[in-house]
Amino acid sequence: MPIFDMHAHLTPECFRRGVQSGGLWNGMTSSVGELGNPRNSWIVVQRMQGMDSLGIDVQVVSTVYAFYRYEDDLSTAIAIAQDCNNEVAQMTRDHSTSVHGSMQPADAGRLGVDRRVGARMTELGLKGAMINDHVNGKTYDEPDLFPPGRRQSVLAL
Amino acid sequence: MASALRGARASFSTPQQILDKFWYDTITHNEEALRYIIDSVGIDKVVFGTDWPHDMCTDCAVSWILGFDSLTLNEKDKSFGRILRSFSQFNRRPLCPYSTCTLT
Repeated sequence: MPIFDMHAHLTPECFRRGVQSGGLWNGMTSSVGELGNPRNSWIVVQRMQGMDSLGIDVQVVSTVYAFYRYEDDLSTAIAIAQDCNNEVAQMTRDHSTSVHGSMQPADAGRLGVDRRVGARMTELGLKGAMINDHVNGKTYDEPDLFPPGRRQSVLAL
Repeated sequence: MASALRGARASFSTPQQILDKFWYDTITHNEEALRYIIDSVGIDKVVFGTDWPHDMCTDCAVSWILGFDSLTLNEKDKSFGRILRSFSQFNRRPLCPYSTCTLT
């Protein structure tokens, strides 16, 4: 019975490298990204060993929620999403039998989950898209979050 | 008027119809709660999840679920992998020797 873990996360290595020694990564510091959890600093080989020890065959990986930066200016949010998505995609290419990935849209509030997100997801070889359950403190039933006309205001990631 | 009301009502979903649109993972911390979810939405909407690397206070979620008496073998099998089997070919990994996981 192969076992898929549908709910697993990643703190991207690009972030970890960027915030080393007190640095900044797209405006983020080491205070976010949950680096206090040592598993968030594991390299992929360690992740695989961890999966083995847990009896998990495949992880479906998304970035940890700290990287869903809807509150940032759009250019920063896009840069973060691109780096995160590229790293998750690379991991799925390198370990295609053990890891599947979800992409993160840069701005769920303005983008929604639409055809361009789907196209980018397919291009990256990812299996789904993950959005945070709120945008700047608002849940998705707020009428001003997805007003008519804005759903079509879409940016390619 | 009645027709309009019927039309309006038809545009709404029942709570169960809304619940059926979601997927649920197995992080319930409690066997009875997981059983309740399965009974409420069906095993086809429940998938195995760990929230790794976050500590969900379950040393080995696989053995934890395998040990549930209230879940049938079929339910365990479905929650663990049926959904994604079509995604790709994958290498079989050795299962952990339940209850002796080293990752804490």
